[in-house]
Amino acid sequence: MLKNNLRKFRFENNEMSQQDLANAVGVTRLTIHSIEKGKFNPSVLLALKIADFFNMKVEDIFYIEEE
Amino acid sequence: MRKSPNIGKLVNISENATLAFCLISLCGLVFNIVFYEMLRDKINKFKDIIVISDKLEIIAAIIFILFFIFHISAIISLISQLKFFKRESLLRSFSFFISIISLLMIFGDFALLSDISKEYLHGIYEGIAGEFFILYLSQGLHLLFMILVIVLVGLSKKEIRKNPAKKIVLKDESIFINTNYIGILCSISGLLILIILSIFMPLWAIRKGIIILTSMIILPYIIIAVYWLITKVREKIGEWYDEKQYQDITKASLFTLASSVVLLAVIFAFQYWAAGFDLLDVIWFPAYLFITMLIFSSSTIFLSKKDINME
Repeated sequence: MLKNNLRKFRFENNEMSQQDLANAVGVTRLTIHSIEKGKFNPSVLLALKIADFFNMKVEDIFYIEEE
Repeated sequence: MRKSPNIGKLVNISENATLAFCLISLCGLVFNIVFYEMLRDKINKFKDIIVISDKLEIIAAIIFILFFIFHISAIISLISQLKFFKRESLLRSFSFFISIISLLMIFGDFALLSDISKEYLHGIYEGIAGEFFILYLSQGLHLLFMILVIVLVGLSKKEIRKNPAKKIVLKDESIFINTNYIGILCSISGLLILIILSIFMPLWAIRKGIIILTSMIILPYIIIAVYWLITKVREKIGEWYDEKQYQDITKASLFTLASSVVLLAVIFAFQYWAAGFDLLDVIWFPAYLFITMLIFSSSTIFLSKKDINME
């Protein structure tokens, strides 16, 4: 199962809102929300864009958790 | 959140104009109802209606024009609210749906009045009571729309006072959700009207009115979809939705395809085995249209919002 630390990084980054992150990576606020909740798995492109935005590696933000 | 400078002022100006037209139209509506009641009374007592018509028809015509201007102004305000607030709202979607139906009914009122006077003057009385019923129903719809406009303008002013600058939203989801809300409203209304027609109207009358009624009911969806397309015209087709929206509408399409086949199979079975069930000869396409629209729009909304607990 794909998990992520998106919420944590968002708050560490000046407590930015979901909307601001959505604007930065070109998706809707609902998409960011669903990724954070683990309800939607982003594409490789979107994961790379998010990682790039936070200046991190993809695997720092996204990780697999055994069910 | 980043804000851009006072775009709220433009929305405010448009809403003030709409509110002014709304209040004048409300007076016009009261006049219309009194006028229709006087007309109905004269018709019921088989009195001459020429005198009252000659006296009041110019005022009635001015009120029709005023209603038209009010509706156009209100629709512009609703679209500008949609653009400014960038937030999905069932109330706003419902008001948009009612605005288009109410606008179309202004022309309907005019046609009904003209029919009533023509029929009365030619001594055909059978349909007049039914036409008056539709006329009053239409006034009720206009009144409902005016109340909705007053409520929405009030809510919007309150919100603009709190946040006078427009939200920056590069990928807007509200129009996507609102379009689907309007899809649900159109399809439920369409199905209800088809059921009512099927129960109470003879087949020839359904055949006569089905195309106009279906077009009227589906028009709000077409207008909002065209507006959505206009907002997307500068983007590449691949960028019209973001990846979650693509996933949601793909799932919704699959679900719509599968369930519409099952539903149509049930309807086919009824038509094949149940004697006298030949109504679908006339309404099969509107029924199919409204059923698939309802399944698609509601499943898209469900998939988009099922895990929402926004910040």
